Amino acid sequence: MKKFVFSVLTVLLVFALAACGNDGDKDSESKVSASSDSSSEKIKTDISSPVEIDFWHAMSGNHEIALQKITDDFNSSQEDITVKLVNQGSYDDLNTKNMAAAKAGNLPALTQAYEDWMTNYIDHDLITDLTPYVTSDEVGLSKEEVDDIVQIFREANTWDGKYYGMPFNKSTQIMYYNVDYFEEAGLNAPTTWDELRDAAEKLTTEKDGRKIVGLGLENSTSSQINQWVLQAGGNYLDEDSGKFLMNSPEGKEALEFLNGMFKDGSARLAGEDGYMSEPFARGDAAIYFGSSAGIPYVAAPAKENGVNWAAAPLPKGKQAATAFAGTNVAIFSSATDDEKLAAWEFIKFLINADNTTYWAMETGYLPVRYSALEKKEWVTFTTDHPEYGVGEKQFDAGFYDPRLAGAYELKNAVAKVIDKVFLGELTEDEGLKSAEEAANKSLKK
Amino acid sequence: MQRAAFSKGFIYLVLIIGSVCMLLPFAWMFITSIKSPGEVMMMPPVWIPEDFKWENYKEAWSMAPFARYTINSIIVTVLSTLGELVTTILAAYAFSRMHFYGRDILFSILLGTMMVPGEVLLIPNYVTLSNLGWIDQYQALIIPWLASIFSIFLLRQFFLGIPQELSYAAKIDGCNNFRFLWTIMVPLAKPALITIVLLKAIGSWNSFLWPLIVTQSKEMRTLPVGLTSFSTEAGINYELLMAASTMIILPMIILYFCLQRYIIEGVAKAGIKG
Repeated sequence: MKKFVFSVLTVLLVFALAACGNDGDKDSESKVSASSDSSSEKIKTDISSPVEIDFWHAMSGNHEIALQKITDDFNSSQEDITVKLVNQGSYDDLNTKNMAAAKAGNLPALTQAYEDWMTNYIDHDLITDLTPYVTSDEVGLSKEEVDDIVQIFREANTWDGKYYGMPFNKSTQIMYYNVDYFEEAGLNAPTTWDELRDAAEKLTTEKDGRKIVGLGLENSTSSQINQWVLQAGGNYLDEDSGKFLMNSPEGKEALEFLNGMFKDGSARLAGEDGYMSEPFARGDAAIYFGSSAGIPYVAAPAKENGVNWAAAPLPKGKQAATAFAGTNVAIFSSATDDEKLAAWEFIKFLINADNTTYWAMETGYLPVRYSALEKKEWVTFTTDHPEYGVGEKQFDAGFYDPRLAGAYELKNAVAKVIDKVFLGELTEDEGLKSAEEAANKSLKK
Repeated sequence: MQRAAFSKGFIYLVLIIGSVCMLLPFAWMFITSIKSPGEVMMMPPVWIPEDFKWENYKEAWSMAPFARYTINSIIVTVLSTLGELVTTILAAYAFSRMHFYGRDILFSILLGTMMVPGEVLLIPNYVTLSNLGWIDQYQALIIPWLASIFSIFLLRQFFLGIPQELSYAAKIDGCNNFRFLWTIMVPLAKPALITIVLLKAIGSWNSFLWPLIVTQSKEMRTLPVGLTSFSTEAGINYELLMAASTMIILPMIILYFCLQRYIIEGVAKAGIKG
């Protein structure tokens, strides 16, 4: 699928270049840049006639139901704006569709978007600078309200000091652990790498003919290797210079730490299981690093299998570092001024303290506002379900994935090499070297 | 006698192994569809769920507007299959039996388009349809799929295998091209046509990315798009996904059983002819 998306993007690039010779496209492009220029000056602050806007998203199942509820509430809360949700399949499908619609000139007003997509959209003048909306006296947010948005999420949406999106469904990596296994072994939840390795070794056993592994990791560990490198005190990719920095002593330490546990069998990847949540929930892994958005996928089967579990922040190496993932909402520049304003009103509603709390409680994503963390519902909720309160403890250790255009391809190229190290086809040193080559190659493209 | 029985037994054994291999995925899909979430990924695998959770079907059906999706899938599959059948028959006849200037070059150009991977065409096709104003309408789901080079190629080869003498005889009896095609060639080519219908119907019924890309509203979407309701970035509800898949696949299995007879018949007849 990733390969496919990559090929689609390549094709897009080709077409984007080819489109320079096309009159129709030139028109729409110049229109887009003209409107984005003017929007930084002044924006429309009242809606003259009723507008209907589309919100393209990739939420499905319970997530979609929760989003629909918030949207319905918004639509009935006022008369002028109707937001229509359009599910566009998976994130990859959504990005493909956004690119196709950008070419065809029929983008919606609102979309979900990852940060690296947004870099790309900004480069192509596709999304609107939201700063005039945020700072507007009439429709903007107060200083307190802006500061209320979790800092790491705000930073992730800022390019050159301008807001291009607002955080929506944010998740983080947390550590799930099997309470019974830890109690039997007389261990506490690990808080450092050393404790983690120690616990993983001690908890790797065989029980009633079943193999139990100490640490279970997702198959995507190789593409999230930056988290481990950062924890080791290193750096992965410098956003400003675009330099790949993992080929360093810290990078090596991270790789050796993980690979050491794979080699001695105290850690394993999900492999054929797809997601590690399933093996963990049936008691085949003592510790599991996974997304906070996966809590329901652990909770339901674990309850059925009688597995007692809890969650805690990720153990730290030289420093604490936790990847925050998930998408933001952005407004396309092609929307009319009325539509943009309508979209902005919806964004404000979507991430107000009440709704972000509701969203977090229903889905396992994180509240995106500090004030939501103090709300009575949330406090009661996280007291009853402490696992949902783990994510917010890691806000200060949070980082987001590199947003450089092409960072997605770079991450995939590096992940391929790292997987080879995990499989024992390359040594750590060879892996780091060819990861650097792969990274530089994909940056040059 | 004994030897014949032995070889027959061996053939049956091979066939049984083959059919088990073919049926296993279907059986697994069905078994998973009536499991509880905890049993889905159990190791060693659970072959017979503790209790059969038929309510998975009800729950799966309610996760998305599947009734509407079913109607759309039927409309799209039936119309694009019929349409392709007509264009294929006409084109294959022209390329195999009629003589006109540049025929072979034209045919190679057509074949050449098969070399272009579908993904490359996705965006230009989307742009074209959007310029036509067809996005989110049945036209977008059907019209681009009304012709298939592969089917034309398949049928052309089949037509070439039908003896020329038949057309001479027909012509002497005063039959024109059109009548010859419909009354003689088409009935003779039934096995090839059934194959084309099956491939097309299954392909159209299962196609996912194109319907997703060219539609916006739930009212216009097809069944495979509905299956995305069961997976999120954090995990997949396999039991519900499999329940929905079982329901979706059923019409295609029935279609296959209805048409399979003709394919076998065609193969058998071809054998006698040789």
